[in-house]
Amino acid sequence: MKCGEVLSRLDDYVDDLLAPRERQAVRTHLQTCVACRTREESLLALVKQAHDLARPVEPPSDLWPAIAGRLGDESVRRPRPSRWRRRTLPLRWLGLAAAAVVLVAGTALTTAWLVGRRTVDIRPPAGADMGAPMSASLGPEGVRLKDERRQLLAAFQARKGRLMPSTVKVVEKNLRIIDRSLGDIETALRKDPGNRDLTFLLAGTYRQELDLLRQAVQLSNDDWTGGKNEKS
Amino acid sequence: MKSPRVLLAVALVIAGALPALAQQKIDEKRPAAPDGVVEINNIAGSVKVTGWDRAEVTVRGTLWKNAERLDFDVSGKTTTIRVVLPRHTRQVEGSVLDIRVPAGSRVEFKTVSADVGIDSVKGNIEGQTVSGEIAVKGAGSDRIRVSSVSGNVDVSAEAANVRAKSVSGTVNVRGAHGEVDASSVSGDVKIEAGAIKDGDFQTTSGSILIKGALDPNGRMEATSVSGSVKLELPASAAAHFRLKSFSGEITNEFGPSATRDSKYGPGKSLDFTAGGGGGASVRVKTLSGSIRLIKR
Repeated sequence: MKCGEVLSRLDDYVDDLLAPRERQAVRTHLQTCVACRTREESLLALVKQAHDLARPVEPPSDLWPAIAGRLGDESVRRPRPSRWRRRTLPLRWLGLAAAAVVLVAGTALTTAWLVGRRTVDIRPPAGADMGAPMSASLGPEGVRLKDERRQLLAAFQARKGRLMPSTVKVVEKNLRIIDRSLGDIETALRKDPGNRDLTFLLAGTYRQELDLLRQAVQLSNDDWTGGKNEKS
Repeated sequence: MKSPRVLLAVALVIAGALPALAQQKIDEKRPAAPDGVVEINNIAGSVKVTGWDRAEVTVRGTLWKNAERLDFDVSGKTTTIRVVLPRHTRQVEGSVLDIRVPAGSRVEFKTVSADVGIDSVKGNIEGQTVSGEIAVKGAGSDRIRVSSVSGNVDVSAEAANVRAKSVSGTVNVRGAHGEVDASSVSGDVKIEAGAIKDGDFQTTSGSILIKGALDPNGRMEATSVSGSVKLELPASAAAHFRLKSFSGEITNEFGPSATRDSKYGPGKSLDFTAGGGGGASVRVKTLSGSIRLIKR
């Protein structure tokens, strides 16, 4: 089996949907091909990330005693507080209450970040205003896509003056279409965080955006003159 | 009264001849290897490439006056045909190139707005345009890789391996078998293929239409965000189907109806086997686009 055949079956392989013979052929190829194995590992990480995100995030049951202990829950250990201690008790309770608020808020924020919003805004470089924020839901694959996207956006913004205005218009229009679609998928993922198909759709759409940016940057490098690059 | 008329007639003749004066006629040929590489670059106008049984490359056509020259060189097994523009070119007019190449040549092309037509070439074909249309009629190319930004891409070839892409144009692939990869962002993707062994079809907002048969052990995957996906397969199609849409409708003429598959979202899915299954697999995913599985 060739790399292209393996890569096109990787989703099904990871989902364990391939027929035994096909599955064996993919496995054999993966044992000898580093590039395909790297893609498989990214995909597995993506699947794991999606699986983890599907679980509700709750604080561990033993977290509170540990925090309470660190804060010094002395009311338990000292049945009769001194006058000074009686005066300071409200402050201690205040501290504990504050800690509880911090804990609850922290957990809520973590949960919201992981399960709800789940996007990290990657600010594009100066002048690069195209493109949607890169979703954190893509895990390690998302990091790779994010880096490439940032570089390509910067390159496109820096070199789009070398392209014909009509080409820039088409590219930017389609980047906006992709961005709207990415936003729609992100919205759907917020409603259904454990939906692996949406995660794959998201990754595929980001790849399509990268493909478009790559093509635009490559076009801006083309030399149609007898000398150096000029505007074509 | 006669003088003004004569002057007018002369002026009209000169005006009529100006476009011809602005062009340079091309009619050149070079010896070439039967299985060599032909690289073609033409920014605007048109490029027509036809395979033939001679071991030579010919270029006929017109070069517009603002083109600096035509480079037509052979180096080893590589023939280069390139319309060169002067520096600081602001306005580009089209050059028309009618090229004949040995049928076994590998053809590589690049244009900006020039349309490209390729016919009867048996070697691999690879190229891209920005706004030009691409039409490839194959004669047994093993591999075809073509893309356009805003132009339509049309591949009619019994090629074993086709990758056709556009950003906003329509992508048409007919007659291909084996591996077929077709995508567009906002344009439509239309596939009329033989027995597909490995098909990947993707759009963001464009629709996808697939008409054809499945290889008994074939695999086909179509994904779109908001575009609809329609598969027209023979009533006897044997495959395992997995169709999923987050908010689009799923219509199935081959078996069961779609059911809701998530308690969190409106997602629907359909997972079934038709015709005894066999080894073929069809997967379709959309966000909001409808999915229709239709019997031909």
